[in-house]
Amino acid sequence: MKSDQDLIHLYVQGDEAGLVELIRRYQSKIYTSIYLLVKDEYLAEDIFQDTFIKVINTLKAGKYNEEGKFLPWVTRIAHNLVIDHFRREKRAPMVSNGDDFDIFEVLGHYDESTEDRMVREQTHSDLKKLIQLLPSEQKEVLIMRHFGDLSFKEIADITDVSINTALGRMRYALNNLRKMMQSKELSLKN
Amino acid sequence: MDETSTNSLNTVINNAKVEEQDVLGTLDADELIFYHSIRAELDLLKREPKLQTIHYILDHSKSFKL
Repeated sequence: MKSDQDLIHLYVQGDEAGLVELIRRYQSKIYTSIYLLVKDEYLAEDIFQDTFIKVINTLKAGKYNEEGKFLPWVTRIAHNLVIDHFRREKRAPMVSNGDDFDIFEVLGHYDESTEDRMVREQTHSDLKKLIQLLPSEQKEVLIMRHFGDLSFKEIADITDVSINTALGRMRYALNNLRKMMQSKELSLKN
Repeated sequence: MDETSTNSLNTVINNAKVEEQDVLGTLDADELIFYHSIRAELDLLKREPKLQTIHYILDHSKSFKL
């Protein structure tokens, strides 16, 4: 199997097959990460497209830094495009950001009709909905780690925080998910 | 700085390095167990872009001129 660097060299030298294989290799990771952040299929398609257009433009212009890894580089481009979108839309997070986030503030937002719906659907947990309830920084790290397969160092570089902060956000994300799932179990039993 | 102070300082520095390595490592056991318990469910959330989008990207590449 050719390495990413080999595929890039192939592409830069004029063989489109290099790009085809790079897209095939990483399309799910990149698209899933974008989709879970923006929560809109059509918007995710646009951002995914714009991401790879930037990739193509940079590679063709000979401006790609060969010392870096391909996937974290593409993820950074996608991440910046998502941030740009939210800035344009001035979309505020559903819940407060930061490490002082209190999960029980979110749980308190569940009104009776939501709980009735959860009980009726007999779901143990709807993970996608719970992920969307996480503060954006925690959601972002979880998405990059699980779906993007990035190391905490790579995530820290992309999000411009320390490794400690990236790891801390992952811990908070997992702990908050666990609390939400446990709370849903309790509400289903009562 | 006497020898005792130097030893104490070295202990602090070494402890800080160990802590950094721990942090740079992975999540703790409890967190890892939970993470592994939801991995399969997380994997169900994976999505693929539309073929049309891929084709558009490849067309852009073929028609790209500096």
